[in-house]
Amino acid sequence: MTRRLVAASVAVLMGGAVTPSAQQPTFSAKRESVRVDVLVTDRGKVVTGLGAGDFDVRDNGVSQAIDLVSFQQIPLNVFLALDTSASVSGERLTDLQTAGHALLDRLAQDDRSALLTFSHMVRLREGLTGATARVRQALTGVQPLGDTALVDGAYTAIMLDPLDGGRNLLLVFSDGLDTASWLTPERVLDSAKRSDFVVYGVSSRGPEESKFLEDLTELTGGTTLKIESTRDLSATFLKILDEFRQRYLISYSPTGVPAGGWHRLDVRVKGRRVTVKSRAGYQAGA
Amino acid sequence: MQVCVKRRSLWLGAVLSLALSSSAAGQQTSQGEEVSPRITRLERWLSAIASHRPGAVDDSVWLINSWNQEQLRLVWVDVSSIVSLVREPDVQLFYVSEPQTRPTGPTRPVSPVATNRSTQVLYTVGELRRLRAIAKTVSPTGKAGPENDILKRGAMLHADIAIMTPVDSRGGASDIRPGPGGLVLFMNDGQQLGLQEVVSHWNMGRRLLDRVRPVDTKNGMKTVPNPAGDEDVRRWYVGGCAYMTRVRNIELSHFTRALELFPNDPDVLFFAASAHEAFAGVRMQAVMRSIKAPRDVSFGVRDEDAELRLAEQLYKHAIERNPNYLEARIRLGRVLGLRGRHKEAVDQLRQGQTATEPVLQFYAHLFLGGELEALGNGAEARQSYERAAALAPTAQSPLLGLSRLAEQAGDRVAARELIARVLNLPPIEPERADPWWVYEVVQARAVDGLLADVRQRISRLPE
Repeated sequence: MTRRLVAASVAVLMGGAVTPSAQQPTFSAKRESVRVDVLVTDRGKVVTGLGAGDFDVRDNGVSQAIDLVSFQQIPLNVFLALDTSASVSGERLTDLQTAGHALLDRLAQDDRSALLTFSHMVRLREGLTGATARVRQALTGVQPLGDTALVDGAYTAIMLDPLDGGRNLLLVFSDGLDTASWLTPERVLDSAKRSDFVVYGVSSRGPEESKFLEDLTELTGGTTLKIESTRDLSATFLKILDEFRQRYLISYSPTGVPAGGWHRLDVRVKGRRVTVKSRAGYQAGA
Repeated sequence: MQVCVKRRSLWLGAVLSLALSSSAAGQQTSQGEEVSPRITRLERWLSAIASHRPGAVDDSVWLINSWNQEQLRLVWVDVSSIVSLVREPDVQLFYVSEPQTRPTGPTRPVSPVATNRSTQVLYTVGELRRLRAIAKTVSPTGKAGPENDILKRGAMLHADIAIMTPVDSRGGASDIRPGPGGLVLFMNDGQQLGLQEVVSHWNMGRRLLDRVRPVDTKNGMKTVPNPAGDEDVRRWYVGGCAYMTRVRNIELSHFTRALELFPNDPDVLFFAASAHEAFAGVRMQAVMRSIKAPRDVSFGVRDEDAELRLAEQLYKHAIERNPNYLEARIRLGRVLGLRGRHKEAVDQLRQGQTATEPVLQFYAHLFLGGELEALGNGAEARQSYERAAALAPTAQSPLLGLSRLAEQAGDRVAARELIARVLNLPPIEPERADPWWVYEVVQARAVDGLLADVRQRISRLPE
């Protein structure tokens, strides 16, 4: 999204399409689209079968005309960012690897996956690939060690956005407590505003420890799932993948809003009392 | 990481039980000429400290390591009596004051004379006769001075036990009874792993050194100790602080006592400051928030803000005492930054940049990058991060900082290239090293030299 929006704002400025009355440049009639990943649920159950006419998308409070709504049609880019610090050892590691393999098994043929691990050290074990076996092999070879740099790991993963128009799921697992990152949560959350990723978090600690992960997932339209035991990991990973597949991908061309800055998004389903989850907004013009 | 404490609220009961057990021991051995196991143990301890080679894992280490808390406490009581007998041969009454175990704040100076916290130690006639004989052996001339060597050698042996033997090899202990023991909190990666009662040989060393009185001490009665006036004691404390920092096994009482004895020593101030800086970190704070421990146990760790405030005060005091203490300036800069005082942080870090040691230069540049970024000075922040990256080419932290700066500035291509550099770093240590990863312990990098120094000084003392 970020790159597309950068291109859009530059085109506006170069073309001088600034309305005389506006304090800031606004999007012209010829502009690129914003994509928003949306999950619609009704009392916990995913709502399917909705079309463009069912959604009301407001960009900074301005209602937008939706160009397209797609559902389950675009291949997924699934990034696993897994905590492999010393606290994730023994059964926890086994459970984590089992869960990772279960998720990889459920990927569709056109889906791609990647594996990044973080302890105090951030490592890309396998880059984005359609060869699931390679990711599986990399996951099997992981060994726990050291402290936890969750924030550094999340930032690194966010910067791996393939920019290929695919749907990007970033699944972050951690025991929730960052003990080693250099980057601060505030700065990484700021960067996440310019990312296309929908981040889902899985945390195996108590509520106070996973604030960053909660903020990150909330900002990007995902969810943080807290588990009591890593024995629940496989089911949790699969639930996330299944849920992500059932999200709508809405695109629209912003009109009537400034070209730059933070755009607050508000997505609703017309005439229905359902729960809609999408990213909180996007950063344009950066 | 470990933190060691003793419970506080049970203190009164503990002192009372000390008095009762001493009396009971006296009655059991009231036959006068009967061989007292207590004094025999004291003699074995004296023999062990005489034969121990500082820094060696010898028989003395293993023998004393096997003793339990109560046995060691009695040794400490009896060594105190020997010290009293050397300094005042006519003394008839013996008192002992258990060191205060408050994690913070001043404690009452330990004195062999009676205080409202002291307890009389009762000996049989036979035990007292043997103690006097031992005192005569310690100081054949009857002059004070040699007893200090006993105390220092003893403290060195106990420090070596603490350093060179595993915790689970120690004798039995109870945190609610008097003596050199306490609770050790084991933690890893911000999670509590366990809570265990263990003998603290550092505690035993501190107890012994609290009796030291340099012969040139001018003030006070000759029975009043003055450990603060002894250079060996100071070095023992500094070495202990460095060791505990390096192995992340912090006995807060050690740092607190060091500050009480040497409140203006830059090294003591520096290590105490860095301990509080570490206590402010998420690793310790998370454990403290979720700790599972008896209700009357206090580890003396404050909340993040209070710990940072304390660290700031101590670093500043260290710098006042030694304005060229650049490492203290760098760490003070980080603390100020964490407290949101970025301009003050930059001032300190800019001075810290002049450090000659590369690892200190790295920290100064890395932290300066972060602080300048916080102040919105992206160009200078980038320069600082680049300098840090040049100093430590396999460090991920400055590259992440640079990437984040580029990303924020809208240069996503550069941001991604920098991430690619991170991901192309060597995959394993030690080929891949980032000084940021060892920031909590790097201040103790001279620990081997510090310990060798104090061991050498003490090995030169007469046996």
